[in-house]
Order: sequence, then C-alpha cells, then structure tokens
Amino acid sequence: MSDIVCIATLVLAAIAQASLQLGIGGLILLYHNSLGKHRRRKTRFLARNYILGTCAISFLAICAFCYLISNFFNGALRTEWLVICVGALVACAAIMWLFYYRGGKQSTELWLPKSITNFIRRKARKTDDGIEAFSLGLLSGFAELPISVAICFVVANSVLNLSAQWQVLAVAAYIFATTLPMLVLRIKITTGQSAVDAQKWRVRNKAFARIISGSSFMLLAIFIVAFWVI
Amino acid sequence: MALRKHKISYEYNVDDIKSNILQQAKSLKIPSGWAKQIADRVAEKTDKWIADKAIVTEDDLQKVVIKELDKLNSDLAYAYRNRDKII
Repeated sequence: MSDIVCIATLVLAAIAQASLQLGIGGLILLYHNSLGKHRRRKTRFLARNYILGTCAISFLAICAFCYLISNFFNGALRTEWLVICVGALVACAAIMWLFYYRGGKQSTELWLPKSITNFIRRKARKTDDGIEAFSLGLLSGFAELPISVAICFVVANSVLNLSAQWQVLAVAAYIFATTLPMLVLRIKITTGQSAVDAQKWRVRNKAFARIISGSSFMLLAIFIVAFWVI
Repeated sequence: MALRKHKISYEYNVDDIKSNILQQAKSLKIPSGWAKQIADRVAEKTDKWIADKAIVTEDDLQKVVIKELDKLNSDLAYAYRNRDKII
C-alpha cells in the first residue's frame, strides 16, 4: 500500500478520533472544578498533565495494536480483518449519529456507562495534583477505547504499512492531531474564556459535532473499503 | 429539615449550597465579595422557602436555587444548573 494512502487513512482516523467528546468533556470538567479551587497556574499545570495522560493512552493503544498486528497478523491486516474493522466503523458511525449524546437540550452528557462518567466527575472534582490529573487523562482515554478500538486497529495497520523512517513521525503526528481540540480549548481558556463559555459552545454545536463524528467514522469506513479492501 | 434524593433522605444544610455557589463563582472569576453576596441572598431565599416544609426533594430545592441565581447572575446560574451535565 502506498504511503499516500496510509497517510490519508491516518488523517481521516485522526479526525474521527479527535471528534470524540469524552476527553474534551473531562478537560472542561477539570478546568471548571480546578479554577474554583486552585490558582490559575496550578490549573494550567493540571490541564497539561491531563492532556499528557490522554496522549500517553493514545500512544500506548497504538503501540499495543502495532505489536498485536505485527505478531499475530504477520505485519498487516488481511482483507477479512479489514472488513471487520469497516463493519465496526459503520456501527460506530451509527452510534455517533443515534446514541452517543444523551437527550436533553442543555447537556452534552454522553451515552457511556453511568459508573464511568460518575467516576470521572468525582475524580475531576477531587484532582489536586499532577499525577491525579495524568491518571484522569489516562482514564478518559481508556473509557473511550470501546468506541476507538476499530480506529486503533486501522491506525496501527496504516503505521505498519508506512516506510520505516515515517512510522514514529506518523504516530507522533496522529497523537498531536487527536489532541488538537484539547490544546485549542486550553489556549482559549488561557486567553480569557471560561469553562462555561466552552461548555455553552459545545451545547450550541452539539448537533454539528454529532454529524461530524458520525460522518468521519463513515468516511473512514468508505475510504478503507475503496483503497484497502477493493 | 430533610432532603430526599434517589429515595435517600438527608439533612438540609445551607452551607453546602453556599459553598457550591462560591466554588462555581470562583471558576467564573466573579469577584469574591459579589459571589459571597449572591450566595448569602440565595441561602436566605432557600431558608425562607424551606422553613414551612417537613421534607422536600433535592430537585425542588435546586430549582429554587437556580431561579434565584438566574435573577442575580445568569452565567453562574448556567454553571450551577449544568455542573453535572458536561460528560
């Protein structure tokens, strides 16, 4: 498979992954609770650790899937496995369009197990040091793995199909792209907006986010069928 | 005075409401003096509302708090109303 197709797959996968909302929701929650308790400098430190945590879990997930593919699938996914990934991505697209957000006009609650969201809320409220913020980032990335597992498979497969000198760079660029919404939020809050402004923006654009998420998953599935399967 | 949430009853404590409001206000960068005034006025209202009731639901109490906050500071009311609806 040519490098261009692999890079295009990574770009589409990064858009789909970046459109997931738990990471950004967790960061808003952390900001909101921390600004009510700590100095701004400490809040910035906690937010940085949270983002590092989400980066770490993304990196670990991709490395784990790369290891899995190179050891158990002979370095590249066969067509039948790619078809399974496509099926999972189409299912994720449907989930995004229909179920991902809970009802309620004023909320951006997600359709995740209540115990997990409660745990993240509780942890965000009590986070006081860097390690806790880092582990909160890890946790929020981990909680979204059931939805992003198909993306991780596709990303790992694309990375392994790239030329060796591009592989590490591709993983770094992918992780940077998936973290971009959180970095933008961090800059916005640092430059004077409040977490409430960010949340209001999320509520106003909930339908748009839902369409973008579902469509990006569907687009990735179609792209894989067109360039990898056929 | 008892509050009821998910069939669990507990004592009404005006300080909890005040500290919640103050925490939300701080994260919105509302000056502390103004935030304290808001919290005191809301606490006064809730105390008055709850005085003649033996038992109330937490939802009803929150509605009273949010209604009062809406009059005083809409951003604070929004933050208080949606504090558990972010994820």
